[in-house]
Amino acid sequence: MIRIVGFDGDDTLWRSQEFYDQAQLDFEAIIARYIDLDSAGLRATLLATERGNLAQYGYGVKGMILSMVEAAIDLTGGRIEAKDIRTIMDMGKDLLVHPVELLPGIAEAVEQVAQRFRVVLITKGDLFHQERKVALCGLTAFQRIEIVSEKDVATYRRLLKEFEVQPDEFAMVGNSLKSDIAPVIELGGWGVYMPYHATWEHEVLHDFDGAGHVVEVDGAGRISEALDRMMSGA
Amino acid sequence: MHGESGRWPLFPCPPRGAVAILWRMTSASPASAPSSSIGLVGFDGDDTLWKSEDYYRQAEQDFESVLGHYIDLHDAGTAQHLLKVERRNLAVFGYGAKGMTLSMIEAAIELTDERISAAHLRQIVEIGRRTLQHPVEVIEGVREAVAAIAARWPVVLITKGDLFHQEQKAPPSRRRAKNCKRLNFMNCALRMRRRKGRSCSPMGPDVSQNCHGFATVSGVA
Repeated sequence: MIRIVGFDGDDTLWRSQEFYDQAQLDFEAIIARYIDLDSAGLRATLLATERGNLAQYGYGVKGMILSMVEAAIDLTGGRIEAKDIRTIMDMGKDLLVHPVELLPGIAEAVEQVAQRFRVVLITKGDLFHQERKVALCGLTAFQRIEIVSEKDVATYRRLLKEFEVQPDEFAMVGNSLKSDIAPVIELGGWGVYMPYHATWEHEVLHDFDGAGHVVEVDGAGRISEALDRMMSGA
Repeated sequence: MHGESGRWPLFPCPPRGAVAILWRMTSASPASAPSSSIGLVGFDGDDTLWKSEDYYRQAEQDFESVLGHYIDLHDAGTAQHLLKVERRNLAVFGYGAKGMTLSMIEAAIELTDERISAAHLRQIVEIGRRTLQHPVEVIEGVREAVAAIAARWPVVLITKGDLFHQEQKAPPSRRRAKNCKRLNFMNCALRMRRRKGRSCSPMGPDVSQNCHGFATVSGVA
């Protein structure tokens, strides 16, 4: 019997990844003026820098900008000009203040789910940036808002204990198999997987088996129906 | 500005006497204080439980020595300019070492009229990284003090700044499960803060195993 439904924030409630993808393209355009490296090569280098820095910076835009600055200097062998670094910085600032745009149908879907279950928002990343999005998103149904630095089994275990529910009484709705679905399933919970058209490579998970506890939906309008299916199978 | 209480005059400390202090105690004071019905004691993190400000001051000195290659540090008002940039960026970056590093890069580019080399900007990135990696050094006597308080009241740790950095100083994994009830109580206490747009992420103690809960708040509404 599901009692609590968690919703992810970025790319589940509101648009996010496409802003990052645009920043990536802008970054590539700047670096391309200095070196002859194809888009795939640039992307791989930046991703490697970002991953290498995750242990120090955590998730979020500020860490991404610092990684971009670092990668830009390293990729150009120190030839990049300060004015181009400034452009990268400005790109990052734009990302931090981009408008919060809800995904189609999600506001109605959250309201619909909230009529039947307790709903909570569990979002990952930079505290300050996430707080801004939560404050601006206009969704008021959430009984609890959790901003966490990582979404792994330990984090969900801690949250479920605080929510005072068993894992099989919890379902998580999100676009990332790695962060929203797999850890919850590992604990014995349920997942509503709602893929977004763009996914950060770090979040991609291959060969995932949902063990019959995951329903994939093609839009927010199907979330409630997916929960029904779980309830009938639970 | 970064860690806690007013390293720079962003939020100037009120003059002595402007704050109603219930009882000013020193280590030499007799152990008596006004009684009250306090039910929960909160501890700040940076520069209350562990050292923080020293590392930011070191970062500022390192920043100035990089800029010394380009400008006369006395004429340029380097520290003042950095402060100006940080204040300007606070609404975008919030508190913390990552925001400080980004502001340092921005200030360096401005102060040098874009003359600063990429190699020197890279050094500034490393100054920020060192600030993020500084060791957690508990202030002398704090362990004993927290243990003594925890013997009488439930205690919580409420720290401000960058969530990731604060969690590194106080990892969530160390919270004792049996204290969850008290942690939930703390969550209730902080709910009003959430409603004001300041969410909190409760997690466990680290510096003192006596803490029953831990919340990081961004500090900016």
